[in-house]
Amino acid sequence: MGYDDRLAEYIACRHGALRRSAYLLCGDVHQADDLVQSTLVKVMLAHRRLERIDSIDAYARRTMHSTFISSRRRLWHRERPHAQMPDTSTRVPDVDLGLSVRAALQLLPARQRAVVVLRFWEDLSVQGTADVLRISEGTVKSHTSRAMATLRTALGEAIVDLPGTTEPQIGALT
Amino acid sequence: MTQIQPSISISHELLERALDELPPPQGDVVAAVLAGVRTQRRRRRSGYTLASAACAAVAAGVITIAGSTGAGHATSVPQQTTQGTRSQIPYPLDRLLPANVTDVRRISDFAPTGSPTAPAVKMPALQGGIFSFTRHGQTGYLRLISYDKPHAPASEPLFALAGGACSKILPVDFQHGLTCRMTDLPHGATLEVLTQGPVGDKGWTTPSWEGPSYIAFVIYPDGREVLVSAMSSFGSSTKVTRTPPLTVAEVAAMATSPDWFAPLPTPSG
Repeated sequence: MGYDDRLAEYIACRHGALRRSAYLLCGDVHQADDLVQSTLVKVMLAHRRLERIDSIDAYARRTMHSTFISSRRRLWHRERPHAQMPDTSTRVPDVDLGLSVRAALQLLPARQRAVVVLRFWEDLSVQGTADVLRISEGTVKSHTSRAMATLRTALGEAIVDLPGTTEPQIGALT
Repeated sequence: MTQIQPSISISHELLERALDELPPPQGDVVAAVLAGVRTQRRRRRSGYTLASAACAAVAAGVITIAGSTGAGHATSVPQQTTQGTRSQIPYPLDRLLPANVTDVRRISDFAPTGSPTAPAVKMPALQGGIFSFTRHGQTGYLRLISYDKPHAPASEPLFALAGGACSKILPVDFQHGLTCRMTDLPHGATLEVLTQGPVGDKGWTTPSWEGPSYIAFVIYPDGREVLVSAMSSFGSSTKVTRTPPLTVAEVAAMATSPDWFAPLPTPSG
């Protein structure tokens, strides 16, 4: 099996997982598909580097998040945040929870959203998240804290903090 | 009314709920990626010249969107590059460009992430593309998007430009040389003019830079939106710092033209 064949096999196997993360990042299925395709093209083009990289998965993850954050710097397509924050008075109806979570994620700046997806969806540690985004662990923690505050405001009682914590600890959550 | 259990923490479980409505992918994903790889390799071989950008557009796939639930992307119908004279430029760009702009070519359809390799979205109310042009011997690029939201079919996915960008600028954006000015237009429309420094994708793989740009948004009260962005480079492997060959005033004048939503003229001859 040639190298391109192995990468094609990787794409077939891992496309779904990348697409789910991309959907959480983008909040839109078309942009998510676009992001995943751009990411996978870059992964395949980097075959010379990949021969020295232990984990294609880690490489693809870093490429996708880097591409996502860079694309958000292009102002012409930046998403329009909700004019009003979702109702936080009491509870979020169960049937709308998915929609509410997606809307709440869209309230986060790109890098905070990436931190949330890496830590709480892909279950990476603070250090692992910092490595992917090439930022310090302290920055990961501060992004997490700010993202949590925004999500808590947006989702109200749909989410709760763990007992005894003001900022969720990834180790305790996973 | 059904209430959720108030015991969900920010966790894998909560985020999984956000994926409830994610439809399955459409089309042959591997084939689409391989097509993108071939396009990029071709561009690399030709040194990221304008010719390579045109080749990228030829090889780029076209997405069709099936329904408002985002049933998705089905690759890929080859897209021909539009080249040449001003009379061949898609309406209304022909009338809006300054007279001394020449050699206008469509190099890419609109793509959500702005990636030249990404397939384009086909939406009837959403028109746009990326064009190269020449003025005073200098090559420039235009990103054009017009969105006729009031006339969008019910089946068309929602789309939003960056309306209100001036009020949402992040500190990191100022580091990229950003300025933003908002002006009220007659009849409740709003014009936002931004100037932005070079923006690059600095991943581990091939970098892709857009040069400094002048961006004009016009947002009408009924939801129609126009974006005109003039750039000094597009998809460049190196950082370009020269200014675009159009002025800020020219870009703003193009964006505020009512022609974007005027009926198409009857072809003559």
